[in-house]
Amino acid sequence: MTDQGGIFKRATDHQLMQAVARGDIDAFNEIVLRYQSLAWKAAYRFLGDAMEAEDAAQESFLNILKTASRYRPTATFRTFIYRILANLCIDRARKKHPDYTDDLSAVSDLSSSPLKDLIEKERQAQIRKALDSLPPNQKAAMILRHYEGLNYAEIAQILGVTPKAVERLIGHARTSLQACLPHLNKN
Amino acid sequence: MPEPPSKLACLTSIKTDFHAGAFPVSFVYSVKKETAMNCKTVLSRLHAYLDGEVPAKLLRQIEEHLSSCPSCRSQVEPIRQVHDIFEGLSVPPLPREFAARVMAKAQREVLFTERKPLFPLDWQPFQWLLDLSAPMRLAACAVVFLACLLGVSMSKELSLSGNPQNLVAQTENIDGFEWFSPTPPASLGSAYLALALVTPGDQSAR
Repeated sequence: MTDQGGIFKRATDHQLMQAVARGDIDAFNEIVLRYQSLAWKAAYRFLGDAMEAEDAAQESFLNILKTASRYRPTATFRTFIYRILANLCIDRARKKHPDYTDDLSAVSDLSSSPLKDLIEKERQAQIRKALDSLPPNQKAAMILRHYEGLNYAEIAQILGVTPKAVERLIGHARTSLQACLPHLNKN
Repeated sequence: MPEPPSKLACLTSIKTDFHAGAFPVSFVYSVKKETAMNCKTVLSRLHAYLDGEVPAKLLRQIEEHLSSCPSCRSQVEPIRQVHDIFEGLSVPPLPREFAARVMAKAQREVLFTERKPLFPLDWQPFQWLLDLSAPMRLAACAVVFLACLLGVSMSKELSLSGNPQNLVAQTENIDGFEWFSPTPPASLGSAYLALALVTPGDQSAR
């Protein structure tokens, strides 16, 4: 993984996937390096647990490797990754019941005072709890819209629904969240 | 007391007045605005409006409605607040050596342990045909058709030209022992040939 690594850095996602389909491990390594941060953030925001998020992100890359020969560039590669990741996360969310434990490592800030830190942890836990209370498809639509900045058409492609259905999912999700988090509005 | 006019009579009268230019233009526009965008329509598209997902014309109509409707305007702020709250959800940094672990797992689980089926799931034996241009595809189909036709006609010719008596004669000649004929007289091959050529009648005589 040395000389070819430089060539792959300039390659497009589609070219990389073609190389992965031929069994090129360097091309796959480049894909992992390019999209590891995106996969990790989306998985963590959805699952709220570092261990689970890492497992899901890893599994999504393995799925990309397994399905490389069937990959067709009909949408952007980012949409392709999100689709794999969303399916994995929705499956996991359906299998497990939320336990609402807050991941303290997410908000560790040594410069802040202990009281501020505690308040922030509590706030994060409440946001996480509200997000976890949503049905998986509403949660996925919210995360893809709010954090990943995708438009309705892209979200529709990822979740396999129409843009109008995405609008409804986001509308329902926001209404539920407004009811869950009234006291946080003032912060 | 005079009887009130019927609904149909009222509508007909309004239509006649409208065509006669009885209503001022400003009145007609205000009626149009009222009917085009009401609170229900605005509220149903409010999330899409805030996400910038409505067409330009609808965007203008919603903005006009919001500027004149305090009730609908009061619905906008809570949605914006939800958006702001979720901006604050932090994510821990990417775990160390994440990529290395993915690569190790890929090599362990996929590249070495995967058993390839006899035919891959995405095996498409006629993909080459689909990749050709239309005339070439037609030509390829014609060649395959002609080859099939030729095969059928040749097999028919063989079966029709074969006289049953000739066929029996051919099978008698092809018994396989003629390959042993040029063997030296005292060799194992000649002994085997002598044994094999003994007819059942000869055996009973012995």
